[in-house]
Amino acid sequence: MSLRHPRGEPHPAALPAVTRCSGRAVRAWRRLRALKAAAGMLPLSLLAMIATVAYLEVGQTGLEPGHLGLLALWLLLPALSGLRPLLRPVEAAQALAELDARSSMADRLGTAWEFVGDDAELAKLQRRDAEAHAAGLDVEAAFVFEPKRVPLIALLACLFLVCSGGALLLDLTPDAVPDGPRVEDDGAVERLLESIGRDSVRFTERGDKRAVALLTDLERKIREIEEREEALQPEDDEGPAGPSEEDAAKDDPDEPMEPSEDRITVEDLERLEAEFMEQIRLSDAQEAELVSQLFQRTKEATRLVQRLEEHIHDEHAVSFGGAGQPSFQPGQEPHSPFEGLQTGEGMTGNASVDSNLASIGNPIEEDMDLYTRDLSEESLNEHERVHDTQESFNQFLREFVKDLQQVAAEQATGRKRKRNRDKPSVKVDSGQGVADRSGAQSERGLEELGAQKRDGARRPPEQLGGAPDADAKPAGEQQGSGPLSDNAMAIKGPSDGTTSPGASGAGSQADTSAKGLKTMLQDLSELGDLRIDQLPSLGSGGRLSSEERAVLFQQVARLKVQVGSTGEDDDVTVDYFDEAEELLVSNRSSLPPLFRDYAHNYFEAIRPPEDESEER
Amino acid sequence: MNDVVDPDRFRQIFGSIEDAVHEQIVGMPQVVRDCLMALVAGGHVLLEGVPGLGKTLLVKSLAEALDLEFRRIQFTPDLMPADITGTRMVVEDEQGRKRFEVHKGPIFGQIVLADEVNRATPKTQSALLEAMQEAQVTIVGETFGLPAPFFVVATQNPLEMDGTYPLPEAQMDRFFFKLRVSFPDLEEMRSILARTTSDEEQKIPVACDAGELLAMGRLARQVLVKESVQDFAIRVMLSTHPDKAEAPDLVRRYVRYGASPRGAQALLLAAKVRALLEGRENASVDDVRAVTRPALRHRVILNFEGEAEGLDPDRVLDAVLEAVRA
Repeated sequence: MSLRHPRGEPHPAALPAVTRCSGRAVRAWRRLRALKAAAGMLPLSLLAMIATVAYLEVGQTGLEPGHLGLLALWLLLPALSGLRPLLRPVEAAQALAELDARSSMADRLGTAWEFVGDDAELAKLQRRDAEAHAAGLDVEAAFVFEPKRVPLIALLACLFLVCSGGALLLDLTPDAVPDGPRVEDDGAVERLLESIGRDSVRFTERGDKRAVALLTDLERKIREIEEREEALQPEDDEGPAGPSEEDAAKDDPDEPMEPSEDRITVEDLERLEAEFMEQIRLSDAQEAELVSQLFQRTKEATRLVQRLEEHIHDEHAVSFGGAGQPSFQPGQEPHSPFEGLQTGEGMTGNASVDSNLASIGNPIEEDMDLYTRDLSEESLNEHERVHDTQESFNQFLREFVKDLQQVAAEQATGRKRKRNRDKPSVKVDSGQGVADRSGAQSERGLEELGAQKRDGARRPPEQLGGAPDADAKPAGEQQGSGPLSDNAMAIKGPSDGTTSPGASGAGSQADTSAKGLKTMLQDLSELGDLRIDQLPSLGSGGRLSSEERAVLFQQVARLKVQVGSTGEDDDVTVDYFDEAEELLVSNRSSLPPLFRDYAHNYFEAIRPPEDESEER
Repeated sequence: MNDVVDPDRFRQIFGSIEDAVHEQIVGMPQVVRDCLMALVAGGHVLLEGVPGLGKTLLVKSLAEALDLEFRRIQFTPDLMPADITGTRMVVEDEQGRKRFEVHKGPIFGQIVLADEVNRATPKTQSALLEAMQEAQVTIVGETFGLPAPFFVVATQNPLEMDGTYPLPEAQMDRFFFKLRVSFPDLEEMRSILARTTSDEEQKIPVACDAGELLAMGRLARQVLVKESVQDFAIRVMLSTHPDKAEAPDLVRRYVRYGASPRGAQALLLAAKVRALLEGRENASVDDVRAVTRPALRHRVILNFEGEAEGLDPDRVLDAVLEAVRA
């Protein structure tokens, strides 16, 4: 830039200080104007950046690190704004006037520069005065840029945005990808279901039913979520047209609100999926072990079911002498542990019978041990509930025993003897009982029981499993006793007790019958104080095994049928059956499966046949 | 005495005059300085203040300090123009012949005090027009020049407006400055009482003569004013007109008529004198700003709304200075 007088005159050498100040003032002022222009444009640039960010954020793709370049373009706006005043030329007179104003020079420099060619005395004086003031003038200090607050804040905001974008772009943050709007993938659910289906097929082929069940449950929950989302979709489309159901429920305090826990959210789905993945992540060794255990348990269960069916079949055959003929012949080895009782071998402590009993009892005990172990892992509330069920059952059993005692007392009265005189062919005075019409099989069963009784009478009392009966008489004396006595002896035997409820041809002496029944009732009373889970495990220490208990119940049931099906007793039996069924159904989840079968079989056994009831 | 002064001498003489006046006048330093500035610039001053503030004393002291001929005219409603300018009188000489002889009025002085100028009729007031502007007086067709320096100081009471005749705009424009004499404070009153209630007679030293005063005036007119400063003074003057584009809103609303070009002249001359007093040989924008109030406040004519609002012309001028950028 050439420093020339505004009037076109050459610059005199009389103003060196003013000339030097003018050059510095020109540069400083241009720089200052550039900075001011840039700072003034910064807020506008920031607003433009914010608007761009908002536009990109609400767009389809959302704000991505790739947009940083676009945002950085707005920073060029202040730079361009500052470039123009930086390049625009500045006159020396203007710069000196600005310097006069900024340095409180009272227009000394400008006036001297303007009147540099004036030869008046006063003009010379003025130039001298201007030179004196310009000599010690700090031009740069007069053009210091002092940004205002708003441009400064805008500058800081721009720097923050740029640094944040740079950090995202360079992956300097833990989560480099910003949280944009989640893109809905309609095919994700279908792919997930397909994956679950494939896994389910694979686990089915492996035989891992537990994993298959988990997969099936997961698939069902996913479909439920899909259905709920589809059901909620129209409400979302309607927008804020009216209050939602939840709001309406809030407005109406009387209307019960649906608990929020029932709603399956995406988080629940992810959690279920995570749990499932944790559960199905098994090593090959673990999977092999599971399959092995499952196979072993299946075999055990199959064996138990088979034995239980055999037991029921044999019991039914022995009790009613139906289509199933006795599977043994005199002098033949019994085929089942229960047959030993019929032949009297069980009462003699036959080793094979004991071993058979042990072989039957062990799997059951193992199974109940598992059940007990499972119970111990339950919470305290579960224990309380089981305990209540146990108490209810015990109470029911006590009442049942009491009822039987009452029946026995009635049996002991003279009414029985009277009926025996009227119907001498009937060993058991059952009135219109079932035993009279049970045919030859029943009579044969009674005879067998009579033989068992005699055998049992020869055994020492401690081998009978029950408490020694002080009133027990020798076998000869008890011969010809009624079926009650035979039954009582059968119950007291240590074997399975699958003896026929029908009395042998022994006579029906009331006192003997009363004794046997009394002993049986004592056992029942003891059983009434047991826990449910202990019932199947009773087999040692003078107590009955589970199989014995099953036989015992059925024997008692048949006794009940024989001695009690005289009218009112039928109603009582039916009531017990109904009550027991109701209890079994209501407590299905807490009762052991084996016990349910026992109880069901018992009440089925004591239920009088319909044809007989009609005859009566 | 030497009629050429340099700026340093200018400031020295000016300071001497101020000190001499303050021998008699207590306080009012700015009024004294503005009066001297107007005197150096060749203008006239209108003093406005309540009675008893020492306006008359100020003018008398100033005349004594400058060793100038002082005349005082008490303006009354029955005052006639001839009473100010003078008239021709029939006089009889020694031979008994009668002839007309001009009897010069009190206007023929170097420092004329027109006390309570607003009490005279406009006709009488207008008798000052030619003397103040042209420094000459015409009496029955014969023009007489007034002695230099000629300095008119008029006073008026702003409170007692009954029976007064406000100065017409043309008359007001003749005054270089309009100064407001403020009430003295406690300390100034003590000094005033001490000086005026004792038998001690105050003697005012002569600071300079008329020649030096005129030389000071000439030096002031040589002060350098660059174009931007001059333009600033012009824009300030123009901004007092409500019909101008650069006029602020306050001017547009409350001003009926703005300052005349004579006002811009007063601005620039006063700025020059002030520059000399500030030790500079060039006038600056700040000088213009500093003299805007006394130079233009009596030249801004408020409209009815402005008068009804009791608007002070100084507020209008402040708005003008705020609106006009250097």
